Amino acid sequence: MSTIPPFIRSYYMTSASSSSSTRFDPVRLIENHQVGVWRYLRALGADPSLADDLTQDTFVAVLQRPFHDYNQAATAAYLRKVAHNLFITTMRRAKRETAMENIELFDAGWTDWQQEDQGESRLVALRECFALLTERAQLALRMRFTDRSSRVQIAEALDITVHGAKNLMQRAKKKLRDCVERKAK
Amino acid sequence: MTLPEREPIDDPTRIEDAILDAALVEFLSGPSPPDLAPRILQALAQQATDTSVAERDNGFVAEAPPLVSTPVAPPVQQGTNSAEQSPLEIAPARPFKTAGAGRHRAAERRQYVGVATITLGLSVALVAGYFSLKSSPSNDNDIDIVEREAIKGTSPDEEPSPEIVAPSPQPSLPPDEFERAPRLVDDDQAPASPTIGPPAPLSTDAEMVAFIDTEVAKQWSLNEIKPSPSATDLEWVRRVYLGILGRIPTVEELEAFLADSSDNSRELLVDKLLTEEPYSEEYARNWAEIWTEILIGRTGGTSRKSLASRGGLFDYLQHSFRENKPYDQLATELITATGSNKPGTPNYNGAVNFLLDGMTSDATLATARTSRVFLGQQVQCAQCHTHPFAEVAQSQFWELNAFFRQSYADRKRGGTVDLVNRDFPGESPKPNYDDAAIFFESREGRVVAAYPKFIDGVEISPSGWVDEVNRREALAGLVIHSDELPRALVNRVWSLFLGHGFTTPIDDMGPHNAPSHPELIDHLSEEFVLHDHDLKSLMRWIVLSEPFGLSSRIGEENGLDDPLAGSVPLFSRYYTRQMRAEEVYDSLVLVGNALSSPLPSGADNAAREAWLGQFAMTYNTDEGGDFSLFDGSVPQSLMMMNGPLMRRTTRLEEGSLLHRVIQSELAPADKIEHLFLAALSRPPKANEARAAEALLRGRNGDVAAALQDIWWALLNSNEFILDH
Repeated sequence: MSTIPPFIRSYYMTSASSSSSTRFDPVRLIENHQVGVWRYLRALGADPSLADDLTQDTFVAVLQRPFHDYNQAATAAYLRKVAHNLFITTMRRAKRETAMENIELFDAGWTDWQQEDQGESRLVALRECFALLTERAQLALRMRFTDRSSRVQIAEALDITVHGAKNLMQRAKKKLRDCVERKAK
Repeated sequence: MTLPEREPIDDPTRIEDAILDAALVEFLSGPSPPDLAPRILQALAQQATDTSVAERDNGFVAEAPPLVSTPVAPPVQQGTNSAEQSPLEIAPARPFKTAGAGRHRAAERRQYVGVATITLGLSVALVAGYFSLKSSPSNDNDIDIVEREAIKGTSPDEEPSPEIVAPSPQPSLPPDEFERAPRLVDDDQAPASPTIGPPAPLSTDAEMVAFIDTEVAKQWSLNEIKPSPSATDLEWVRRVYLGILGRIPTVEELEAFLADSSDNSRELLVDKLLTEEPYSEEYARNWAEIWTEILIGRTGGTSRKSLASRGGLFDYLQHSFRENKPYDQLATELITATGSNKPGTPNYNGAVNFLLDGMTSDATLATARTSRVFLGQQVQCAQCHTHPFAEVAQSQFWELNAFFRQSYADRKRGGTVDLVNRDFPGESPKPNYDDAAIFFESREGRVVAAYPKFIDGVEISPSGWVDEVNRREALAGLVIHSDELPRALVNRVWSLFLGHGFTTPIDDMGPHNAPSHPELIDHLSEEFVLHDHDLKSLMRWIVLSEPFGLSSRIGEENGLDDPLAGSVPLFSRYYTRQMRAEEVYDSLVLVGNALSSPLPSGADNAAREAWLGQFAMTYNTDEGGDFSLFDGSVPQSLMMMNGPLMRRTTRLEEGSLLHRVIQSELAPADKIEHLFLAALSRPPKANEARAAEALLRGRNGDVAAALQDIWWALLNSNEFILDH
């Protein structure tokens, strides 16, 4: 995935101490986890540019001191924690209330979502499951997440009540969740 | 800011929604995750360069910003020493001014050979390579970027504000310059505390006590008054026992404290009373009583017509204080409670008795009480008209009231009452559960619709369906996350210990009633929240503070500090006040029976309730107000002087303290001193001792009768019933 020029990559990879049994590779660390960290920040509520910035800051913070990459899960959890703290700090500076009330619960949910591949397989499953929804449900979700339409606009487009539009989207999302979950098993 | 229908705080489906929403945004509209590796590496390289320059020019000590504690322990780099410098080793952290050094963790300083040269070259190479990289790896989607809604979402009718961010144009720079990686915070605006790292650590108890002392002293200085001297140890100990346990200390407890010569004897005593048995049980009972009165008054749950069980609420509170339940959890449980009011029933929940007391179909009393107790705002006036002083409109009262309209008191057989939530169809002529409005009449005679809306303007869904939006749960979430909750609590607890709060009245806070010590209440409230709404922490800070430890005697230079005369309290002395009826009763029982703990049981409870009940009177208003006759009134005096409790406390029979003192081997002067310590927590003054000894001699050898008279006089003195 990374398009780092080979000579840069080799600079880091060959400089590890040959006597060390655990070779630390910051480039590999970034490659293996940057997508997960970015998506995690987006799920927390960061817009794309903020997610970019905070992802960068997360790795810069982590790589400023000795780091031991024991395993994928532990490292991912550590990076998420750093990212979360950065996000909270940013929100507080902007005097914005953070959305997350129970970060431990959120983290558990995220760990389950991203699996071992930073959420790629979930995204593929989501694409497949989305195609199984009714046209009305698909339209409602596209309007909501692509066009950023309000529930009133969605209700008007579908000729239903606002309440009905809300219910429609909630049911559709539940179906998507269940479908993605089934495909993951 | 509007809020959609709120689901329970820990509802996993809300969290799953947030994750799924983010995935849907990425899937449906993008963007996909970009490849940030080059800019990360560039930023690292840039930091290394900046660090080298700063260290060379400014002598900064480079410190890595503190990071969160990690399950991945930083290793000892194997084989690392100054002779084996490897470029792999992480470049020194960016320079950081060591302001607030106490909060920074020192990083290991690494010396690298040739790092500056190598990283500078690397930076140039990175830039050269950067522009040969592709952009986003997946579908280049330059359409609108949709900002994911916060987990709180948006109201159904709110137009989402799209954030349209065009992809940044690729910069084109001459090859001999490189663009600095974008930073969240410019280095020339480096904050005193790092942007990266864990939240600031909690203030310690000592820091909080020092802060209280400093802030209160500021007001003394501003008002040009000098505080009274410190109270004696015995005065302070008596106050602490009354404040925390609701009774005076025994002679043995006084002597134990005096025998402790350690520097932190006061801290140790406070900790013992708050955490060790049997004191923690007394603490739980005392504060359950205090809070029962706060929540439903002195008479709530006592009349046959009342839906509430006073005992049920007391039991729930006692259990909560025994567990040291965080205050936000307590508030949530009280506001959202459902279940039966009676112990022994299958779905018994003592917390329901808070709202059940005075529950009517329009829940106006519940609204007023919830606002007063948990938000420190009296809104009952606004039920009929705009508040005369505070900026509380009539609509705001009814919008708050709308949160309670799903609540229903379901009367069962046998006198049991269940507080339940049920679907609310609104007050329109035609039921409309989807749009369940209530209506009120304004003073102009117009009928106005109201929907659930919190005091800060946050709305929830208008739905009356309980399974779509549980309005009381939504309200609880808004309450416990408001700034008002901790401020109201801090103000109240401060007033309970110091006699006056930062506002008068303590539960009518707002712009119309500014606090006397704004920075102090702000900081105490913030720290209270940071300490997980721990009531014991707050109490500890207060009782160990200087204001709590001052004498109650008015000094030469603080006579103006007289809240009873209408001045703003400055806490330059301890404000004397009468003990509560419960404190008097428990103290009398304790000293009269030579007990080590006044905790009553069984029949004693009934006697206690009967004694206390005779002082509680109700106003019989729709606000459920009541008052106490235990305020220096004639009934109080008669009960104290001649009542059965006083007779029992001053009896000579075996088992009483008086009997024990009389039968002891103590010298007459020591017996007198023991009685003074037991009643007043101090030894007699010289003239008092002389007068008492003269009384002993004057009874023709009837020492028992003389001591009984002295004992009776002490227990009926003003000093006994005063918290001073």
